[in-house]
Amino acid sequence: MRRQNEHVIPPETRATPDLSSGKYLVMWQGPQHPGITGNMSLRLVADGDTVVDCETHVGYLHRGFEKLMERRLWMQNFPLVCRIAVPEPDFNEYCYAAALEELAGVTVPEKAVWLRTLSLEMIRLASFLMWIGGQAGAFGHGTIAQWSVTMRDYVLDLFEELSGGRIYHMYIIPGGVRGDVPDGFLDHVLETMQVIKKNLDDIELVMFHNAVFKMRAVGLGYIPPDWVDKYGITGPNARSAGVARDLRKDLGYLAYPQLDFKLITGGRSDAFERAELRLAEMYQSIDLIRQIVARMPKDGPFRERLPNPLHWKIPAGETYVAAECTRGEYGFYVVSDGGDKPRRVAVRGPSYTHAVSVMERLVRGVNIADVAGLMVSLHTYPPEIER
Amino acid sequence: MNTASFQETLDFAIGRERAAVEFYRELTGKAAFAAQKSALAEFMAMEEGHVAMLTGMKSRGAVNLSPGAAVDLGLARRLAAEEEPTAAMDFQDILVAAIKKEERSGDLYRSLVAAALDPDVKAIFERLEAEESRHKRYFEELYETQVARDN
Amino acid sequence: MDIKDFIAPFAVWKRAFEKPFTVKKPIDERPGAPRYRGFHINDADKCVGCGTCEAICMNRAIDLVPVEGRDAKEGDSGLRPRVDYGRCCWCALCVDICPSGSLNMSNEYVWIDSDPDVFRYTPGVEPKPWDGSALGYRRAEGYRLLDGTRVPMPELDHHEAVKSFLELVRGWSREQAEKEADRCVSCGLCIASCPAHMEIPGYIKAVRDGDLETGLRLLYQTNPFPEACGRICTHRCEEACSIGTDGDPVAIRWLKRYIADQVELADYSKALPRKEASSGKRVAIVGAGPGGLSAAYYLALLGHEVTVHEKDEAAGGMLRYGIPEYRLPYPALDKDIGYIESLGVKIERGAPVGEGRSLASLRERFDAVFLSTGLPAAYGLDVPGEKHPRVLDGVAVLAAATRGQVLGLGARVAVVGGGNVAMDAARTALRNGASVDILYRRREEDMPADPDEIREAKAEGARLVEKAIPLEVKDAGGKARFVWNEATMVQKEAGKRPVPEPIPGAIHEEIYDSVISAIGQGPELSYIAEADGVEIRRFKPVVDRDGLATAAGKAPVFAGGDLVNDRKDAISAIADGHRAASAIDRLLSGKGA
Ligand SMILES: Cc1cc2nc3c(=O)[nH]c(=O)nc-3n(C[C@H](O)[C@H](O)[C@H](O)COP(=O)(O)OP(=O)(O)OC[C@H]3O[C@@H](n4cnc5c(N)ncnc54)[C@H](O)[C@@H]3O)c2cc1C
Ligand code: SF4
Repeated sequence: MRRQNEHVIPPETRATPDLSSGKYLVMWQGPQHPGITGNMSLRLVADGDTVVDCETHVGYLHRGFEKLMERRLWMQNFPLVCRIAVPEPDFNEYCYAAALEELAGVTVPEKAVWLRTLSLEMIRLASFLMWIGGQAGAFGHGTIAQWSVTMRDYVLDLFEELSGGRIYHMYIIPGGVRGDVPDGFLDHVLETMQVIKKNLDDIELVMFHNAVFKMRAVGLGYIPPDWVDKYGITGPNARSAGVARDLRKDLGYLAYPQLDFKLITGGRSDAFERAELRLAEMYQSIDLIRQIVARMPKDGPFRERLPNPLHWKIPAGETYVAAECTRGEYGFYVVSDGGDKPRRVAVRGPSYTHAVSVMERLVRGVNIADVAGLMVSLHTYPPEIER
Repeated sequence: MNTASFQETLDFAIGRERAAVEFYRELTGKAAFAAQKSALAEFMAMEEGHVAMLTGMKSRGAVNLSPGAAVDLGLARRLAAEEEPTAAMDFQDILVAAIKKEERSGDLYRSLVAAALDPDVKAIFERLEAEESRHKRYFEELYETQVARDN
Repeated sequence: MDIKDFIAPFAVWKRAFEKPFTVKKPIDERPGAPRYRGFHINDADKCVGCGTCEAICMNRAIDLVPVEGRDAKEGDSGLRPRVDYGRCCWCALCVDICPSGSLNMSNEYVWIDSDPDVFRYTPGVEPKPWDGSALGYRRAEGYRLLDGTRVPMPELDHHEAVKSFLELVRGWSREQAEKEADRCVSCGLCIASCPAHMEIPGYIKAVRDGDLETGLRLLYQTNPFPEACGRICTHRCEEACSIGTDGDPVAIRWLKRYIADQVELADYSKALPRKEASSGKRVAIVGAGPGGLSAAYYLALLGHEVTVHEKDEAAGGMLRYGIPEYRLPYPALDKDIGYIESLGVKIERGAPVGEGRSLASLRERFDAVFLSTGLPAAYGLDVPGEKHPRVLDGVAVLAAATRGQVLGLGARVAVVGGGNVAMDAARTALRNGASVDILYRRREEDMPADPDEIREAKAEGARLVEKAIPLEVKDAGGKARFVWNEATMVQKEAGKRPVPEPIPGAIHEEIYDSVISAIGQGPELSYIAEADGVEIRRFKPVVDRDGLATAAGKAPVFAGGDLVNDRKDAISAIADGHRAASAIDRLLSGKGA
């Protein structure tokens, strides 16, 4: 068992094993592998059961969204962007809408600001719930996944009620949102939060007090604080490294400045602590959702009328709008040439850094059996790497 | 019904239709330009058709005309006094003359129905009256759609 | 590591006694949420087949397809959206944008079939179990992607308006026009119902793009009277407008006016096509109304030499002598006519065709003749006393107003009729200081006049007397005593419009200084002789699809405008003129009919 303060910092340069020596095993993990978070793969070179080199491979999920968007009207891209990161569609919706609103000089009604914040926190919770199942599963603890995926489905039930869709909500539309909350919805939100909170307590007990999980996760995948800026690490991965960085605080977008919450940071920066930190952020999300429900304006318009979507032209300009997703900084860079379609859209997902550069380095020296657990501990979504 | 009175009744009706043909022929004599002549010729041909139809019925010995009277649009009673159209007659003048003429025929048959003793003759007059109402309706409708479009 | 870390996992066991999370589908139903974006439903009777859903769908999942038993008609393409569930992503943008609100979604989400083709279907046409579902995604209250409200048009206040003949409708600024143009979805339903089939979405786009020269060019493709039509057109296009199915139709007419108003006459030639080289052929046109001048414009453009013979002292026909200047100011009309004349069209004013200048002689001297002499003769009231000197004819009153003559209508005026002529006469009388009663034989909703005209006439102070059957005009010391019978509307025949039936004894009368008759107009056809060989039926020249009346004998004769068509409005006359011009060109240039 590793000691908490025994930090092995993997070498910066790649090993150059002599593959013809017969000493090494080259193996692929993914793209069809439950320990890979989505459609990518790792080409591992193992010395015994220790990984000495890793090469990440993406390209299994390239849908060409950014290019597609250049061929579609501004409004037509609104249903498209949610697909960029499947488990967290709403951050795409928000960033895209906010970027357009900024370029077009549109102010969103107060009610929409709150409803957007609500959606984003709800999806943060749902996404973390899915992640925690994966994290537990990667260490052979399948039961947690059964609970947490159910809890996620309860959140999706709420989304279904609010937006009409479970996975792709398409609720945050440029100009505001697509509808006010239905009758009784806020009560359902509070009831669901109650249920999830209780379940989180159970998860805390059985997962974080599980000897196996502790033994395998503690000390795994240590990220030194100085990597944060070097690699562009954001989100819980950075906060666990002790770097207090959260766009909800730093940018103060949407209703976050009006909400009462503290930044959660760590310092041990290993897989175990990152899991603990995310669990804490799940409790925090529940708390934020309760605050939003309590403080949200009861009525008022929820969308600013925009020009006819078939002819809408946005003044020439460029902007970058970012939001704090579960994994860190999620951003849309949007360029308009004054026409009715984007000239260029580039999407920044945190997984590009976390799942490629950081992963490739962190995995050096790790036991093959821990590769999946390590990868999940970085919380990565390949769909946003290649869009 | 005896054949003699059947023949007599129809001869009378045929006579009326011939008179109508003459009516339009006379107007045509007054007409000054092509549009008038063509409208009058059309209506005259209609009356000639009626003559032929009644003649056919007479020779077959049976009247097959529907007894259902047409809806009365009520124009005839209101249109201006009987004035003979002049050389400058327009479509309105011609239609008014036609409607008035059909109304006179209808009135005549109505009084004949009232006066007829023989029930069979009465039935024929009733049918002829209905037939005239349909002719009148035809012209009234033309008047409504072509002349008094705005009222 | 403490003992808890070894014991805690066993806490999982307590779950064995709890209710499972899962649903026993299909034993237990799990309906979608009330807002669920499930399978599409379409109210096919409400849908007008505008294809806006097709236009917004980023997946190209919707195709507008012909549907059995549904034919195209005005304001309905007859097509209906077919959704391909192999492409649809259930975003419901199609629902959000649907102008009529016919397209919605049910909350049904289970549909199993072994035949993949069934998943491409036409909602509302192919019956589905979820048709008519009350639940499912609907546009939220207060949420629309399109704007159903028209940009208000600045107008003179009605009290001000009746004091003068100033133009009532003031026109839009650039910003207003562009905002209105933005409402258009370019579905094109309007094109089919415009008699001239103007390229409406195209010129509306030109307004949006601020490219008025293109706009003007598109207008002139089918209509050389944009200033006039931009003001007085009967705008049937707006009735067909899909935005009008659940909101105000796009103000197509005002946008047309905006384009023409913005471009100076001097700049027209930069935007508009040049004349073709001279063909050496000569065409005579009879009547300088919109029909005749439209033919003249297109013929001149095609290189033919055109002479218009006009009986009046000015060109424009009923646009000048009928329509009052508060609706169509003369400078606007003069601009349209001015451009036509600038192409070399010769208008001989004060040159009636008839005696002295016979149709036959025109057929000798020219290669083709187009007749568009309109309906200059007012029909009479046709009641006893109609010859009373205070019984005036509406068209004549309006023409006198155009000529600037003193009308002398007096203080109390009755206008008999319910068409546009009646409204114009009434409002002209109001502007001459009279108090006006409009007497109409049926109800307000039956009036053939444009509803706007009726509304404005009333707003300007005219009193509407409905269901008034004229009976007689008597003399009352030089004034006219107008007698009418109040009617009740009786549905005499199913499917036909109700007939006004006099109520026995309900006789009313009123003394007026003038009674203006505006019950209808007829043609003046004495200039067509039998020998001309033009077939006339019921006072209308009989023409073929191209407007050809006769090709026998000398030069072929074409006819159009109010004289032959049933719509009797400016745009139909313009369309007739254009069609005849094309046909004449084909004939003269030997391109085959
Ligand atoms: C009061 C009034 C209001 C109207 N309002 C509207 C409206 O709001 N919107 C709309 O779309 N339409 C309106 N109309 C109808 C519209 O004016 C006509 O449909 C249109 O003018 C028809 O054009 P045209 O070329 O067929 O005939 P006209 O415009 O009638 O032109 C015929 C021309 O031929 C000339 N002419 C006639 N006989 C001879 C001859 N023998 N020799 C030489 N020249 C001759 C006449 O002087 C006239 O200039 C209105 C009509 C009237 C009377
Ligand atoms: S729901 Fe979206 S993808 Fe489906 S047909 Fe409608 S617009 Fe197209």
